Amino acid sequence: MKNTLYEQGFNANEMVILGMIIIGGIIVIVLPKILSKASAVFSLLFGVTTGLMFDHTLAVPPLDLYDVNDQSIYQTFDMFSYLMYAPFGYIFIYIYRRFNIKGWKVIPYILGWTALAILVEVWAIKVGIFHFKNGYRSLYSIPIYLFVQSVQLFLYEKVFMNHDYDKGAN
Amino acid sequence: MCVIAWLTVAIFTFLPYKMSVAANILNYLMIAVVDINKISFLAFHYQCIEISSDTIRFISFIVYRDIIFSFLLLILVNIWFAFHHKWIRFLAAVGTLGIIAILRVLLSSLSIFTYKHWSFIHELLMDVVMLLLTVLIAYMSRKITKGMKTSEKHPI
Repeated sequence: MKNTLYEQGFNANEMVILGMIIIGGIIVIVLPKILSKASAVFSLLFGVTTGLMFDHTLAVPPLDLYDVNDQSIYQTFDMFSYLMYAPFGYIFIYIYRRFNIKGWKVIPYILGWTALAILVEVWAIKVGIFHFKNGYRSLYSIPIYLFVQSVQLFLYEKVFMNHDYDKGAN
Repeated sequence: MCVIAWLTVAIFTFLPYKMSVAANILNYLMIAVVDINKISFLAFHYQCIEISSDTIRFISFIVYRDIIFSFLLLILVNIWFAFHHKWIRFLAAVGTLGIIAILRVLLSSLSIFTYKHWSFIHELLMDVVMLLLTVLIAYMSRKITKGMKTSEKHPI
């Protein structure tokens, strides 16, 4: 795989990633604990794992649709950068649980989060976290976000949520 | 690869004694994080492995990485916690390592990936570490999901 160097050293993209991890981490800690330990771990881990899976499928040859951070090769900081997905997954499930989103309301909820994800992605391109190539556009990420968020909610609802009722949510 | 993936998932599904669904999901997610990072570092950082750029071969690689490997480890940990006999655990671990090694030879012979500064022995050592890590992850997952529903035949 040919390496492309976009930037060097500690600059905007690294600062944004660290900022998102720190602020996200604080939000996760500060929010009232309405999720069980299992649900919390699931919510934090799901975004990280799916982010890794999709990035390491779409961003490597033969597709090679985008690069992450300073270089096209996989670096140590890239590994840590996936932690920024964790708070998003947690807050996504937290709001769903806290406001007891049910029935048809799930559709605008997922659409809203997909819109937010696209906005964050556009911002991430501006600060140099993502470098799109081979004709890839943010619009193509929409089905991925819709799929990932739907699967996360489905698994949470079917497997983890019943356990949360014991924790005194609502 | 798809047939092997189907077989692996089918065996996992019909295991008589399983940990809770929640524990298995958490296990899968954690195994995937470790495995994807391991492969990406080896292939795209140290460039010890070259993954085929041919689309069909690449899909086979993704199926192996995201389904076959993870589910083989899930089968192992479910057997590990269902049986407390040392020999069964040992045989399950050796069997899993053996199956993974055979699959690697198959993947390599089909040119799905090729080793450059890396060998099957290195991979085997990594697999042993991965296996131990998976058992450790499973211990943690079981602790986190304590009290959640397990397979009805035998609560583990």
